[in-house]
Amino acid sequence: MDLAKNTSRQCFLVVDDHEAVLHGTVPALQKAYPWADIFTAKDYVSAMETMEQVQPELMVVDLSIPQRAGDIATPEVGLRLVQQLLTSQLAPNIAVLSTDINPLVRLKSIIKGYEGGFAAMDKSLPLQEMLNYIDFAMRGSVYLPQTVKARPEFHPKWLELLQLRFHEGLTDKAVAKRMGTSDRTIRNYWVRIQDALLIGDEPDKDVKVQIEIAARKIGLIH
Amino acid sequence: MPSSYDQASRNDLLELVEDLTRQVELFESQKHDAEILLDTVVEQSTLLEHELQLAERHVRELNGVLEERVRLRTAELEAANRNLARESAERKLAQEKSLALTQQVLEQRSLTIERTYEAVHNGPLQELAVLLRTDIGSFSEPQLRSQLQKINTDLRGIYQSMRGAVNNHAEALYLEGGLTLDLSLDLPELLLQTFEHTLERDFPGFKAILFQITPEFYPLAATTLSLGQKRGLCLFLQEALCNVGKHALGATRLDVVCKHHQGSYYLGIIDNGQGLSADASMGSDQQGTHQAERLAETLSGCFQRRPNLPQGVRCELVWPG
Repeated sequence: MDLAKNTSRQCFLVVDDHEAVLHGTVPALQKAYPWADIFTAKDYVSAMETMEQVQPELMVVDLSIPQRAGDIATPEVGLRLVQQLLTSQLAPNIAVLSTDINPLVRLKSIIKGYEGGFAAMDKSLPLQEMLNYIDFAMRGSVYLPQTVKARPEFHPKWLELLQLRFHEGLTDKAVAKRMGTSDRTIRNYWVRIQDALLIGDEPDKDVKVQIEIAARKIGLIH
Repeated sequence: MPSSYDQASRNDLLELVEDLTRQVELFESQKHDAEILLDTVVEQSTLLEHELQLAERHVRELNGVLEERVRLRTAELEAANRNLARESAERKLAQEKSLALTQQVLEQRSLTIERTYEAVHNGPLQELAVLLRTDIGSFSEPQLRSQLQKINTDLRGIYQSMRGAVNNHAEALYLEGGLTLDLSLDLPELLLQTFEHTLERDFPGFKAILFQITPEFYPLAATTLSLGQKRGLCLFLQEALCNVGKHALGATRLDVVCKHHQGSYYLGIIDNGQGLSADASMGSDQQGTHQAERLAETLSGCFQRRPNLPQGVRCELVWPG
């Protein structure tokens, strides 16, 4: 289910105020996504400008950035940028790097209902692991590192999707219309439900049928 | 008898003269005496007059002194009066202050008792309730020990946090397990933290829950509630979740629903467990119901706990806003 490969040309935008980090992240990203055009921005203002121009598929954001070039970098600025993105029409996939991701956990409910994919990770992770999570976000999943949960957690919107699909038999397009959201959001909700139910991609199995079976089993739908 | 007469009268005359002379002498002496007396009298009267003048002067002087004394004394009395009035006003003020302080201390005291009981009730008492509802014999010794240790830690935590609250006056809500929430934070964030923290507790009712729904508390973001009401809502959520944990045996699903619709707020905690039994709704849990009802009152809203269909319990709070 690698949607990225189907598109001819994609734009990525990496926001980080450290030259050294940009030098590490950008080549690694380029190697993993050879077809992508990668842009960089070092502060909030230029990030917003570049985003409007290139309409990136993916944004990699360091929370600690300055408002403008020359200002002091603070996590509040990056958090503001992420909140902007979460409510933007563009709805890019987002990967957030930070030493403290707790402020993001507060936005959990919004993130889980977000149209695009989302991954938050610790800044100190090795490059390869970081790339894994970015890939996660690219396929529309949501990854928020938290204390390990004993049970999966479902967003009310995902349940609504299950209801409309398996009780009323609506197609994804009809569900999107009913829920007032985009086809892409619905597609990503399926991915997230699949993740939450720990259903892997198996070539001989229909993912949605597997989701239905698992969802009925635990009582998500009756 | 003229001669004899003459003789006789001459004698008489002589006698008379003598007599007169004596008398004159007597008069003279008397006059002298009188003059002396007069002198003495004059002298005395002068003396007296002088003394009188002295005395008059003295009296005048004394009068002046007396008047001065009266004036001074009056001023003193007036000052004393003023002092007395001031002191009396001050004393009255101090008395009022001390009365207000006493009132404050009493209120603080009852608040502290209430807070302490809330913390004890929503914390260790819930753990104890779980222990008592279970067959104690089914616990291994290490399990029992760990449960007791948890209660022990919680109780100590309450003491620590109470002392903290006294020291820095910060409006804080203590949740069992050492989590202290700053009530000045946004309500959705407070409720989310309460939710996540409470669900981590080791309650039998949580064991069977197969999944949880991400609670969306942001419909409550626009509320303007006092710190006390925010505290109340967090405690309400905690208590309702604890009830699910204790009573909703076999619950596989837990919903926390939060809505703002047609001018009223709704917060509901819904499970599909074994439902309300006589045991769950009576006796042991009066405090929780009491807390919820009091909260509903301060919000001018209402609280109810009713059966969920087809099974389970709905614990709901609705208030205008």
